[in-house]
Amino acid sequence: MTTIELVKVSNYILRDITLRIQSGTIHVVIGPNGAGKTTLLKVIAGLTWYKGNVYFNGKPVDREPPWKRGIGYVPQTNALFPHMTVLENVLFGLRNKGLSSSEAIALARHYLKLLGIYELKDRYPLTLSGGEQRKVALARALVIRPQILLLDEPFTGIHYDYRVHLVEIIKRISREEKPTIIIVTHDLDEAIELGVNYTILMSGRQVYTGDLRGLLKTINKHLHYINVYECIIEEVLSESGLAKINCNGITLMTPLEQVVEDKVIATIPADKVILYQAEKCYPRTNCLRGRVVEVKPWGNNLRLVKVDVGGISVNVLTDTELVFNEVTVKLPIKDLKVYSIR
Amino acid sequence: MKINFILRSLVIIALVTSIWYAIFYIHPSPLLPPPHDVAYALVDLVLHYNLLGQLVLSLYRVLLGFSIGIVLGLGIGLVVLLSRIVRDIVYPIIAFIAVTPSFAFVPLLMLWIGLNDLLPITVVAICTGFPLAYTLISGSKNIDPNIIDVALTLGASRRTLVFKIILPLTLTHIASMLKLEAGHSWRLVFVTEYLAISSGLGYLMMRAYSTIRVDEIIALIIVLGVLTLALQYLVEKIETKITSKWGYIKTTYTIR
Repeated sequence: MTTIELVKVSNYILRDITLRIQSGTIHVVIGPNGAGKTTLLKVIAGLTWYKGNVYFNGKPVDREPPWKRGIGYVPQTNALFPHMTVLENVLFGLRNKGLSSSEAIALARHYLKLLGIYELKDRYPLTLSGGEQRKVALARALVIRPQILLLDEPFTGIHYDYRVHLVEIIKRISREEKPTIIIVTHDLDEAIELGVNYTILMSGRQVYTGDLRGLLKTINKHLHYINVYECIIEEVLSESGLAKINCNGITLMTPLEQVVEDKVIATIPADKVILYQAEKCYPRTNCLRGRVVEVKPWGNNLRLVKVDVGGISVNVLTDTELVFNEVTVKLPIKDLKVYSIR
Repeated sequence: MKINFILRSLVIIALVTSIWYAIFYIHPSPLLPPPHDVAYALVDLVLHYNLLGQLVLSLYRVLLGFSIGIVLGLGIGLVVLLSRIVRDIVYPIIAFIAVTPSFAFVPLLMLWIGLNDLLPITVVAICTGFPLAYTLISGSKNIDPNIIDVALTLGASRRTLVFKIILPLTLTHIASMLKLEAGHSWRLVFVTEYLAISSGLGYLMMRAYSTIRVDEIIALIIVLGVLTLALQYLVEKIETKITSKWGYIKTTYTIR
């Protein structure tokens, strides 16, 4: 268990990051590409240079090399050693620690079984699927019993079923071994499911650090590719698994498996919202009539359209050319996620 | 597959020979002897000029020089990788020698070493060793930096890093470079023998040239070509064996 503290950390991308991460918790760092999320992980791991100070449990570690910081690191590319089998990959860290062969193999077996990849132990990484490779990388990081676990975009490029599994595993590790976990992601769903505290990074600057409630309140200001609404449950239709919720006067139908508190947060990514230039919208559920407020170019051929729907604003990522100011937006039920505010 | 290959080779040889004969009969010239003359010259070379003995001698020079070069190259490369200070000083020198055309060293070494057996061996050793060291060092820079980062968090010492990660991962670069270099050392030995030594295949070629024996020259060209191909094939086999194990190459693709 390690409390991590960053004080005025700056380098080629980060600007004055001051951050305190509670020991044994999961801290999620969110931000767009190029915001410095990976660099932040590398600063904590001691893999890149920086000005300022990093403390573990109050002790400065700026002069400690990566292997003395007690870090388990899973980079976005997994970075498995392609010339070693899965088992050899996992054993690598233990061998460097000078563990006896039988001890090391017992530990490796434990973590390979925990992640459900024991039967892959003699395969070479390049013959594995992306999800399997991610698990091997995770096992390799966990087996050295790190005090701090750094996960860089652990869910990117992983199939949905696998993601659910991975979320479960990370929760279990957090519960049983209590390392301090830092997850970098741009995916809100897993972030909300896993995180205790959050940091939003924008071009190297820390624009928010705090709990989920605050994150959801501020996230729309910074990250336009996600829509977040505070809503109240009006009616639960238990037989269909749906609920009618009211978000600032707008009524939406959302999926809801169990009855939670009255107040909920509904989210939908901007690219999942469908934009119609006429009144027709079928099926009618969650179709909202609104007015275009702002259009911004987004990437090479997309535009971010901000639509005002009687009090709430809906961000839409679309490739359609806009003709009319009056549009209809549809928030498909399957893409809406509802979270209770803890 | 094997029968197919032999059949195809026979067809190609037959085709080339018949075209050759056709040219010979349409336009006879002392500068293009017919295939049977070349075959006879080959037999003559084997019987009276100890072609096989000379060939073994050349091969011995190639292989010895090549082996010394590999040991030299790996040695220098590893020392450089293990020590940062050495790298900063030595790397530019290695790069300079590695990129300079190898033939440029032949005249200098002729004067330094003299016209003896050591000359072709030294030339090959230098011209294999330095490019090998260069490939090893520059190849280490092409490794995914994340792999190095992870290895560092997992407690790898510099030695572990070099021997367990960098060396195995640059092996594919090294293997493809050695494949080229195998053909190249042949050329070097041949040229050195041609210029300076009175034994070996290059010497036979020199002799054939100065007596204007076109049939012998062509016979020697064929022998050389076949040998170089065989050598490259061998190195290629070794390379595939190493890399296919890790799943880099799942099947060998051929362009049809």
